[in-house]
Amino acid sequence: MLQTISLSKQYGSHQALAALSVQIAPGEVFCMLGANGAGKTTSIKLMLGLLTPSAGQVLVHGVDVHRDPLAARRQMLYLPEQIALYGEMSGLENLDYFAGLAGVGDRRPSLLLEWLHEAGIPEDAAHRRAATYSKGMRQKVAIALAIARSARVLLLDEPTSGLDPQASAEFHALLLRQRDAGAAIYMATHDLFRAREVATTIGLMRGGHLVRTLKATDVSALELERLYLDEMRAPLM
Amino acid sequence: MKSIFLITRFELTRLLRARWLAPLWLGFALVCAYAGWNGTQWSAQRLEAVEALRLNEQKIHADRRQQIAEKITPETKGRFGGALYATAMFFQAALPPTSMSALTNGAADGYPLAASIAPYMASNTIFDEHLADLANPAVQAAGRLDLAFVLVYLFPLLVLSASYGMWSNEREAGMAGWLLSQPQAPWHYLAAKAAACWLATALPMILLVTATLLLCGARDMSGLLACALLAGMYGLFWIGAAIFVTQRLRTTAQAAFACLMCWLALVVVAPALALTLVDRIAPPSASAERVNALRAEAMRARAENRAEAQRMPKMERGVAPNIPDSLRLRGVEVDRAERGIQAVSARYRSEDRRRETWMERARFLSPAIALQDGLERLSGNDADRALQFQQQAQRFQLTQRDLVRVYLAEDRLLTVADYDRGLPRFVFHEQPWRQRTGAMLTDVLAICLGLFVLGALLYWRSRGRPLLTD
Amino acid sequence: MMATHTLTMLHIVVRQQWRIMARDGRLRWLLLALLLVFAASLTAAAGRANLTLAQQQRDAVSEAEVWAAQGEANPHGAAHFGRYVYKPWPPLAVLDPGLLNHLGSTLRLEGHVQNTGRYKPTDRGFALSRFDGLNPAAVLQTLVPLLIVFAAFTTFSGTRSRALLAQELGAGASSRLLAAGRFAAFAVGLGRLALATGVLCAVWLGARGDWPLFGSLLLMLGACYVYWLVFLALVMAISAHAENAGASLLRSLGLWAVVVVLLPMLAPQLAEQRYPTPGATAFHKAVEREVMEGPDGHDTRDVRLGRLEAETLKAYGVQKIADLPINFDGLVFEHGEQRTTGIYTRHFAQLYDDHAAQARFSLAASVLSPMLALRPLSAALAQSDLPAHRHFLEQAERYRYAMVQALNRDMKLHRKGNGLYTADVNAITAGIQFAPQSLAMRDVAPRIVQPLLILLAWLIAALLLLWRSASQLGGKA
Repeated sequence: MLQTISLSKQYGSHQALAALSVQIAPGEVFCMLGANGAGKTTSIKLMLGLLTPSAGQVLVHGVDVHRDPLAARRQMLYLPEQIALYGEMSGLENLDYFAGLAGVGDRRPSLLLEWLHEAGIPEDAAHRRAATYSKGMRQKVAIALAIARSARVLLLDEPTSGLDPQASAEFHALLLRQRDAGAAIYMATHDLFRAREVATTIGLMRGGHLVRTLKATDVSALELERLYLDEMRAPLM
Repeated sequence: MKSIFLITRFELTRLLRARWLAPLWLGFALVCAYAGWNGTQWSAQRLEAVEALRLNEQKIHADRRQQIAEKITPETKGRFGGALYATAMFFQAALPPTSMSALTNGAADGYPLAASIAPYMASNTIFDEHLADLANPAVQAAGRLDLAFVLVYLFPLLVLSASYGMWSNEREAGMAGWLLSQPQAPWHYLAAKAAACWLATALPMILLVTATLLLCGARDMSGLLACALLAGMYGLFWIGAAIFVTQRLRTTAQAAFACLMCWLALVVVAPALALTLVDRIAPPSASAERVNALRAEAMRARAENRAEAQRMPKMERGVAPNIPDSLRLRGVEVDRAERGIQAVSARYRSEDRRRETWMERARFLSPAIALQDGLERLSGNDADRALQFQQQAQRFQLTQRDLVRVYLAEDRLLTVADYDRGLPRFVFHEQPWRQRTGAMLTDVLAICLGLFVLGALLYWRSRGRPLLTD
Repeated sequence: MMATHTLTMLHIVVRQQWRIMARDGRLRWLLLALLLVFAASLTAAAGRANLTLAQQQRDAVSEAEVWAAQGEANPHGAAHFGRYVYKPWPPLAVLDPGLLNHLGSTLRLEGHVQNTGRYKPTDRGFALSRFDGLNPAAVLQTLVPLLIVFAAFTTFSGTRSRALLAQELGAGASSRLLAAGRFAAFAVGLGRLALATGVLCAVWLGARGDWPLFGSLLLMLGACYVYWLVFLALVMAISAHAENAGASLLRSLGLWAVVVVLLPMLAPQLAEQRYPTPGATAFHKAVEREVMEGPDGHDTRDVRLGRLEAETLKAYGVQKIADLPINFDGLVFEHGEQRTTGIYTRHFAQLYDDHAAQARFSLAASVLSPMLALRPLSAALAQSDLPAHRHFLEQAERYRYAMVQALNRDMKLHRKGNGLYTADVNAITAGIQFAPQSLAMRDVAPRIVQPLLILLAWLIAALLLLWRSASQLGGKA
């Protein structure tokens, strides 16, 4: 489970995130929608422990992220917006490295290839240098890492940004498999329609504030779009 | 530890695959080869000069022996005083280069290589013949491209070229956050990257320098090890410096800029400013002023000698001695003059010692100075060894004066047998290993101090803040 | 009309680039640091020069006192006792010490021997002494090009620059216009830097009253400015060709390392290999060998003096040496001195010719590095190069010869018989003064024209390269 309790971040007089309190149980997907600069990435960085909160707490299966970041991160997987790999190394070598960093003990080449294959990267591509990979391919390496790690919490920052529709669909299929495997997923995204499809809960963020939370099943895609636009236009209290 | 090893292995693989690494090693090897050759040439010229002086001494002794054996008769005795009288013995003292001399010419060109010694010469003039050098000053002004230059100046630049992007590469590529989100302490990344960088750049370059020295004839294994140790620590310092200056920088261009500024500050500007400061605090003793003071003292001594000669009753001898009494009188004058020379020189020697102390202290200002000092000591071309030589040459002359007193007291002339037995020869005695090691350890300590300061600053700067950020 | 439009666009580009530079905090700090280092090095060098001058004045007084303290002495013995003269530090050498730190400033003048300078500033050094190189000229010749690298390496490379380039070209500016405008902006900046350093130097020169040297100072800084422009054009050309900012930076730094550091170090060493000169021991041995082939002037019984004896007896119309109205020993001293001086002069002339050949070799290598043209030009104007030193040595040698021969002549004319002879040596040499003059501008001119032309050729070549590189920029936007 991923839980934030009144999580806040202030830079001088600028409130980047204000008292965010969410709870994501295993097998749930929380999609945070918001405009550029709303605070979505800040919330993810705070959850990862990459930023120190001005107030509040983040708990990952009861572990305080800022007290014991390494223990918390062992249970988390982060997918940034731009997945960067070491271009001079192959996809296989990159996965081996990141899986090793994540503490995955058994990293036999056959297993690595299996994970990559499950993520949608064939063997011949796995041995190619990552510098030749498209954005979608790099994304898949990151998914392979998620498969390898069986992480209990996934933090995704605009994962489908820049992907073509097919790649985007493949990604969401993988995402759902992770959800069904019991991962708690927090996803920051602009894609209202995909959010409606995969999310359990949807949050609308604006100016660092979580202005609205709703169950995905309670709204249609069109209603969600209307609600989103209304919230974005309304004056911030 | 396992994860540090994992990251180190990964980073090492990356570095070894980098297209610029092999050209870097090759370029460095070529520069080392030229520097080694340059050093060998210089060293060979020194050796040639030392050998020429030894042969010159031998020839003079041989010629004098021949004069005694073949030309001297009771009638011609007066014309061959140079061969017969111990007062006219002639010696050449020379400072031989060591087997590591190709490493650097160090401070050697600023000190006399040799001394021409006769017992009755003024002790302050025995180096005069060997003071002025005829090498083109344009070559000296341009700086000698020797292995010390390569290690002190170029080596850090090459190490920095590999390490400047240690974290800024990841930041610029957008990978930093992803790496930091892994369950690894940030210092693991830095330590492992530093280790990989050292193994891929510093270590091969140190091996190249060591191989070059071996090819140049260096056979002192402990010296080679010490050189490798110094260079290894120096390389580590620069990797630490790269980590420190680039810790918070966003782009690789900024990181490269910062690293180069660091290099400029520690290798070029700070030592130059330190030298300017030392020149102000403890300037070198004025050589020309010293010479005038000694000449004035010589004038005073001459006047005293003349007055003494007029006061002294003429010695009446029944039988003329073998060695004329004028030489005995000359001996007294030489002793008197020597006391005057020591009295005049004392002040200048004290100024020089003060300068030496400040120069030695400057090692702690920058690892570049400490490394240069260490390399000069290893090569045997350091100021200490040159000064030791001068002291030993002057002591040798005093010893020969004692020998002359014996000959005068016994009224004994030099004979063919004396020449056949071999006249005393100057042999340079190296510093005791304890002294040499102590000085080297100070250089190592100075570099360690630099590392410690970097570590302390990094720790202080990172208090309450993450060590690495995205 | 087109020309007016182009000029207007050029002005816009120059102004924009100037704004970028002015707002670059990093560049400001770097410039400030550079000026501080320059000012510090100039102050330190000026201070050192003042101390040296004061010391030399004291030394000259002491030396004269010592010479006079001899009183009544054997003139030939006094010739061996010798004198010392001190080479004055040329004022502009504070800006560019050239070779002076490696040339002895004290010269011993004695009979039968021509010495070289002693007591170089680099003598009795330590490890720290190896780092002595940051004089004002080094700052201008070595560090300013580094500043240029950092200011200009992203002119056309880098993601941002390339993105902006596309927009600029799209707006109607040509790539050559952009190159010209940016070059002009940087050139103005460098001009201001040259002016700032010139003002600092002028203040110092003015305080000393050395107004006639302003022309030389202007030439030095002018040549330096041309050199900077060459470097700027090369760095901008690299920036235009490089794939990204990192590559541009590395290549520009590589250019700096090779052209400013390595080649200027290598060229003199290679010149020395090409035109080797004898070491001090070998030189003196060769001179000694030749001297020993003839009479050295100390032994009047030397059979090799037979011809001189015969000629002298004939000239004075006497049969025996004892009947000569002059002292034959004194004449032999004169003759010996003339002979050894001729030998030394010939050997030194050969040595200096070899040094000159080495200098020509280094200058020829300036096709690879403009610094190899700037350095000798700057040192020539500062009179801190070898020809200026040789000029001093020649004046000192004329003084030495005159002084020694005056002493020998005194013996020749006044010594009676072969007994001990003494005279007031100070009075004998009182009329011979040593007042060295520095080289006139017409003597320096030949050594500055060629390097200046080389620098100008470099500038033209670098600008052409930039022009060509700029024309290929369109494809990279």
